[in-house]
Amino acid sequence: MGNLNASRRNFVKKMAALSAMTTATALFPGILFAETQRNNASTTGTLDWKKAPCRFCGVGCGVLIGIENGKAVAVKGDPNSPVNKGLCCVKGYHSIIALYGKDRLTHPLVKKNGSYVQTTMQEALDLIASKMQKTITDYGKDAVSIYGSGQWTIPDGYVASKLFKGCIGTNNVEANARLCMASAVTGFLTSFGLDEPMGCYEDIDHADIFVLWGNNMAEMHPVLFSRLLDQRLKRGAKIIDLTTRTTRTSKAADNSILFRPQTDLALANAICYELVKKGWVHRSFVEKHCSFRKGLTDMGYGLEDNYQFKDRPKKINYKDYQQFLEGYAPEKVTQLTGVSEKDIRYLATCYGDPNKKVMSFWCMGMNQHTRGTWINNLVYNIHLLTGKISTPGNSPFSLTGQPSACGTVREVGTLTHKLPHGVVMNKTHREHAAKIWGVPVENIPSKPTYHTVEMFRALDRGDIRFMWIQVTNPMVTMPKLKRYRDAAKKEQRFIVVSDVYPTPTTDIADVILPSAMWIEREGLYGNSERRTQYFEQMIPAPGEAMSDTWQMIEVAKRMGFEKQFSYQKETHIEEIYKEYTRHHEGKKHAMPPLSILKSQAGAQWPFVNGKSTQWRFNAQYDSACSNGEAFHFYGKPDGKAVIWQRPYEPAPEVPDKEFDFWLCTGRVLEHWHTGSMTRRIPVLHKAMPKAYVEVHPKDAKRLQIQTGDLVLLTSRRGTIQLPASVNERGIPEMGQVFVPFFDEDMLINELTLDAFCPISKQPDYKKCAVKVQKA
Amino acid sequence: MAHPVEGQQQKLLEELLSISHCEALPAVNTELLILITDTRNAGEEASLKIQLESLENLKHLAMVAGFQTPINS
Repeated sequence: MGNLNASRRNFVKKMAALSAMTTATALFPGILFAETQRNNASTTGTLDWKKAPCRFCGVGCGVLIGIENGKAVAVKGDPNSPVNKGLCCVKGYHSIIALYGKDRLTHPLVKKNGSYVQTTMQEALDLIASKMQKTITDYGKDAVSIYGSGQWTIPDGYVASKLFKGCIGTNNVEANARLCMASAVTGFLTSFGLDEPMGCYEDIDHADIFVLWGNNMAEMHPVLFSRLLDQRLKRGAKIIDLTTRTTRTSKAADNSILFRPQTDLALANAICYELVKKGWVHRSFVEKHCSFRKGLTDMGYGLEDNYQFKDRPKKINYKDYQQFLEGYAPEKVTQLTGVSEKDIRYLATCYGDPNKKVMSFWCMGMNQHTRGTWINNLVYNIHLLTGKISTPGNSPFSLTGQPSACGTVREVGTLTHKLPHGVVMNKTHREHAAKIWGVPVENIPSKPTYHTVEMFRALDRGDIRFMWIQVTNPMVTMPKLKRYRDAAKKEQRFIVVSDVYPTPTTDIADVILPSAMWIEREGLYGNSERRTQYFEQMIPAPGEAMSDTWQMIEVAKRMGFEKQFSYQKETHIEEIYKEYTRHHEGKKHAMPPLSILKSQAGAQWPFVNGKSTQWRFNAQYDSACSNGEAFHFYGKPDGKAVIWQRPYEPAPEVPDKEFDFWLCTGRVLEHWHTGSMTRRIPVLHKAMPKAYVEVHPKDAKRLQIQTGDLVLLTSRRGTIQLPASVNERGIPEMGQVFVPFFDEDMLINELTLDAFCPISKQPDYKKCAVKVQKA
Repeated sequence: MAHPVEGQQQKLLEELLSISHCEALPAVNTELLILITDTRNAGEEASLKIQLESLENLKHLAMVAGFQTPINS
């Protein structure tokens, strides 16, 4: 008993230290305690420390989890992880507490006569399989769907794709990553022909300038931001914040430049204009390694059901492109963007200086954008024109928000058009997948069905009747939420939700399955820098909770696919990963073997000859380059990256007389996405208990609003009431307001618009028009 | 959180580590220390408070978390 109490006391002291670090991190973004963490490790000899990637964002920090008597009792940054080098953010330090919330889902619940009744896992799985079979019989295979997540482990996403695309024969597979990084994917594909960043986090250690495009890294990717701050301290690197709202990142940056919503398109083109005008174009790089294209314009915004768009790229030459840029001279765009000519020229100088290495970072600001693909293309244009790409320190870098948005959604391909290798539209890719899956190639339909917004619209229309939702919370995150909540509640719809806690999404479920969370099962995540990381099962899952992988395997077997899902329970993750890696064989995407992933803090694909590839498309580092040149953009048939002519186009809904403010939504440091886990961590919940609306001080004065006053926000889609925040954490520009989306009691997506990028189909959560009134 | 007098972080760290019931974790890139105290009763706590208040290199102390937990059965 004495030992137990001593251990508990040590644990409490550790928690106290972590709480203080949490607060310090909030007060001093970028503060480092790494050394302390290492020292601390040696004083905790009684714990069994096991490695894992963090449960939360896409940075993929390595953490060490202290296990004692079958319980996770401590967490610290893994000093051996090249991602975070021993550091964690406030969410990471508290991550294990999210395993032990009082209201964990531990047994399946089935809705009967309007109330939930506990049942056994076997009965719940039988019911799901029979409902899915009946829906297919009654309405066809395209009436069943699965909606997953960038928090799916790689095996989860793999079995989902295999079951739905390979066995059932529907492409109704989507994931919430469509809402957060689809524009990054289409940006990569259109510019380079292959998805995911060419560089890696080590670029941070080489770059002289960091340009953050609408990316509040200090709050959303604090560990990476601390690496930027560290480089500033050590080498004098500069941080430039391009933003529509003053944030903690702005305050920490060397230079913060504000632009008006949607005008990043014009700003990027203006930078390119200056690069051309000043002679900063790397002519030999561009001539050897780039081609020029333009696509269709005036594409619309996807606001209507069954909206279709297909781009028709046309070849252009450098002169055509130069002529196009004439419309974006700084003096022509300064009024539109709100950025001074001087600042535009300053930005061009940063990118154009041949002696400076530049990294561009972005995340939701560029991706959640009705022209998201275009703005991704435009930032690549800047790096391609200057040849600042695929070399250490020169790196356009798209960050992700979920632990396996890259690993599962992008690499396994859990989107309607994707396969683990390639796309459903390509016959060779279908044959490749079918062979590995052991299914007839005819099973895999050649046409994509519904992207996420359209999938929920199909649920509303009745084209989809069965939806299985795993590890995500669409009843908080879908834009224009009311339509899709009402859709899910309609008669003759059957919704299954697999999750770890009750959420607004479990509220609309017919069956709720309790899932094993993170280290309660075995799995793999893939982070933003192409790093795949393994974690073992460290603790038992509560009650009957089961991994999402095994839930789907059980249902697949019940539906008659025993042959394709004949994995053994003890070894299924290893078997699945081995099978999955067959899809990616070859120098362009070879995956590391599981034995390597078990022994170290992850490895980066392409993993060739026992080595990770840090810089793709650069012959010095990437063995897939085969053109005999220094660079080879082998994703494109001609081996050249594309510089795209993409114009500025306005947002679909802009402030007017009645709805006179821009609404921007986003995240906060303390909470991860919809808060279903972090709001169950007392110290984080206490630090950020509820949502708020940030109002510019002058607007607040005019509207007689003070911090804490209740404010009514109204858009054409709904009204919500929130407390005001004036001159606090973030400060929007005049005529703009900002609301975080983590709070299920103040659902900001009741107000947002379901407009999306016509190419990526990713919705824009950053721009719609609202009215602001004191309540 | 213990805020040292400017430039005195190392001295403050040494002073804190010399006091019983104290552990201190310094930030590596900011002048700030995390101070963890562990006292067994109100008397020890009052005595510690006096010692901390006498430190010249300690500019400001901000309490972040407090716990009461049994020492032994």
